[in-house]
Amino acid sequence: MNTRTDDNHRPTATDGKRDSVLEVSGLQKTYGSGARATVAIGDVSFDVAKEEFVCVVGPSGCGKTTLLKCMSGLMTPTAGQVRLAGTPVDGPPEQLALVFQDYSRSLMPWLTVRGNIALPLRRRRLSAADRDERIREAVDSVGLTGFTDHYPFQLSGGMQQRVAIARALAYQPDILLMDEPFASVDAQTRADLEDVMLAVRRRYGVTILFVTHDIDEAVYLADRVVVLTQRPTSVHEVVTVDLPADRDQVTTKETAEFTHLRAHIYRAIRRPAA
Amino acid sequence: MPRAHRWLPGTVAVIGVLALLEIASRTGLLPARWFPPMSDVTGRLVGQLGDGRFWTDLAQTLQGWAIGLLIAIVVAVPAGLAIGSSWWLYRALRPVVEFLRPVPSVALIPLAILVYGSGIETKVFLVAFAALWPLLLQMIYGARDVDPVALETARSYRLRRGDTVARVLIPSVLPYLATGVRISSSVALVLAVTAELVVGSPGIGRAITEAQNGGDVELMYTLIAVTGLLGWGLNAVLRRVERPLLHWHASHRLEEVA
Amino acid sequence: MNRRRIGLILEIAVPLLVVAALILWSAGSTSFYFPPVTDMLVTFEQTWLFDRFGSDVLPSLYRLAAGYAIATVVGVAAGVVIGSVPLAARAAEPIVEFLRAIPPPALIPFGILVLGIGDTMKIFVIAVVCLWPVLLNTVDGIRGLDPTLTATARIYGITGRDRLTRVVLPGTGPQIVAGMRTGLSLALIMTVVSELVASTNGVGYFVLQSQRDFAIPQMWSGIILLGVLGYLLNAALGLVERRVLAWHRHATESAR
Ligand SMILES: Nc1ncnc2c1ncn2[C@@H]1O[C@H](COP(=O)(O)OP(=O)(O)OP(=O)(O)O)[C@@H](O)[C@H]1O
Ligand SMILES: [Mg+2]
Repeated sequence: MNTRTDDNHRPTATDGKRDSVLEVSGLQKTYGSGARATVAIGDVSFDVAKEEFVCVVGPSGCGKTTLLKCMSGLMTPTAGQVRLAGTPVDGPPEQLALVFQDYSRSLMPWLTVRGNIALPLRRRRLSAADRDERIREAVDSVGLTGFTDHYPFQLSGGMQQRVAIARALAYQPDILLMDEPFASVDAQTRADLEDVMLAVRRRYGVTILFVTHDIDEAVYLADRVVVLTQRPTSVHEVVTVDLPADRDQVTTKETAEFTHLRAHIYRAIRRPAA
Repeated sequence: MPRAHRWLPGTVAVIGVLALLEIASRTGLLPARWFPPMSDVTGRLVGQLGDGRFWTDLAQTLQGWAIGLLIAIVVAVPAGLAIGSSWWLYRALRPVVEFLRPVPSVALIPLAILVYGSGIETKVFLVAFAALWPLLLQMIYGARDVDPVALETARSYRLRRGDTVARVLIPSVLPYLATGVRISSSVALVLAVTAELVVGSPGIGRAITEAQNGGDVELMYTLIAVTGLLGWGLNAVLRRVERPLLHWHASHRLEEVA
Repeated sequence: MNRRRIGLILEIAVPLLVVAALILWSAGSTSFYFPPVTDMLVTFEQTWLFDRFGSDVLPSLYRLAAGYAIATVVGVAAGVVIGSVPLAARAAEPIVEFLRAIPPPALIPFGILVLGIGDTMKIFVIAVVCLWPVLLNTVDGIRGLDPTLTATARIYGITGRDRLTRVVLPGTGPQIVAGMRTGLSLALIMTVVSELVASTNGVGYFVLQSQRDFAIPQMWSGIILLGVLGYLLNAALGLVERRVLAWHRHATESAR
């Protein structure tokens, strides 16, 4: 387990017990101004504990991507704050990685798979052997063994998406934000990748915030699921997933608890729309 | 965003650069012998506007530009359309065009002097030759880009050949014609001024050389600035002219397909 | 025979036929201006392979290369700066548009005035003229960079040199090369014009001098050489482009 401590950590009002590492408080984001202003996020607050796996679900266009961009420091919120380990985020923090929804456009088309994964590692000042080992491990875990010397245009959409995931894994961040990362892979690969994420979390103690529109996936992966409303977006409900930590694609999804949670979230998503 | 906001940085930069140049030559930072103060140059520019010689030179440059460009259009448009719409001609002539295109037209200046002397003919020949290529290529692209579906449609409605040309071919090559004319126009101006500079055909280019030779540095800068304004103005005018044309084209084409 | 085959044969045969026709047609020419093409070719061989190669071709190529290289480096550097700072782009626009609109040869008298008639003046005017297409295309390229790519660079802390050489410049590459292509033909034009106006050597000078001496086959051989140079330089840039931008060609092809 991870034993680092944060000197400036303060418990928050949202949750006194949890050791929260990411706090979103009163976040609001409006695009544009005047008559054409779009309130993408109305008022969103929640937190993520250290080494927690939190999934975010919500209707399409409710501002999930916007939320991740604000949390990663790519965008300044119109109001409210994002705090990482107690410090306000005002730019991309070093220990954070983000897998973009627009995966194909987040890969450098002039670099091979290896080049794309290696690029962020340059600042890590690893030895060549360490770096190659990390790349190999990441590529293997997303099932792209043998494709390291291919260029993105030689890969299918799903494969490109996995390159973007491998790049984030090799970076070994403390905090990993993922925006619908499995949207264009087939069902079997998707199940495999879900298990990869669980293993990565267990092995490296990464804190993961995972946006998805697939409720099964959210319940299967998460410790807690944040359900967002339609625009102007706020948190509708935070559902705690009390499933055992060791999960399995077949047996976990068979349990009554799983079915119940799934139905609950499904209703929660539908209700604001109705 | 307010309009003024968009123009402000550019205006400030222009004024700033002019002011810097002014200060630099007034204080001797730039040798005044080579860089007269901008206010003097601007003064000369205003003075030129009342000078008959200036207008004659300008007219002569524009005359070379216009005649040469016209010849280029008359030759290149039909030729380009023919080459672009015939498979045989395209295959046969493409390598020839590809080879001739990068030949620098200015290499022909000595030949033109030899054949035509130093009058307007030399200027017109050089302008026409250089302006020909961009137009020819654009027309070839344009003819090859005619929507085969539109052609099929025309055929299936049994449009007569003349109608097909008027309603299908011309509307779809029009944007290429506009682009070609614009590129050729700036090439034509370059060649007109070059001919005047190198060969000594009468016009602004020759006036620049004469000003430099005669040591009238202010006049030299004034005339160089005039050529810049001329190039910028011609380009702006052509863009203005082509906009409603292309607009008409787009709407016309929609009707055509519907 | 299929159309592809016929097309290929046409592409090779027609240029050869054109040359052959020119040779035949001009064979007995007594015209003062247009001597037989065979005479031109013989003179070409005698003059350029390699009698005057060192004395005229090399100086021309040197000026062209120096001016072109300066324009490319300065144009890309300035383009990156201007393109990355929106305010700079808006401030620079009217000045650049005006300077670019000046017909390039009009700058030669200015160059002669300030720098004399030596190589410095020629390299200067070549560089100034090639600068604009490179600069403007670089600015366009920078502004057209995919925002997701630049966001990726920010997230992974790719900054400074890495960002420039591995994200910004490759991403702008296609536009930079397009600008360099326009710049190359301008560079050749300016080399010739500057040698026509004021020079004591170079291919442009040679052609003009031959015309003044009424050495017509020599003049033609120089014109042919300039054509060949234009063609070869263009082809060489095409080769470089194919290598450097292979990813771009493939990526746009597979997107179709
Ligand atoms: N750059 C922008 N400018 C203006 N409006 C924007 C911009 N980006 C997003 N929006 C608007 O903000 C809202 C939220 O967009 P966002 O992409 O965050 O939604 P999302 O929940 O990620 O959607 P999806 O599930 O389809 O990915 C949408 O209504 C969208 O139209
Ligand atoms: Mg989204």
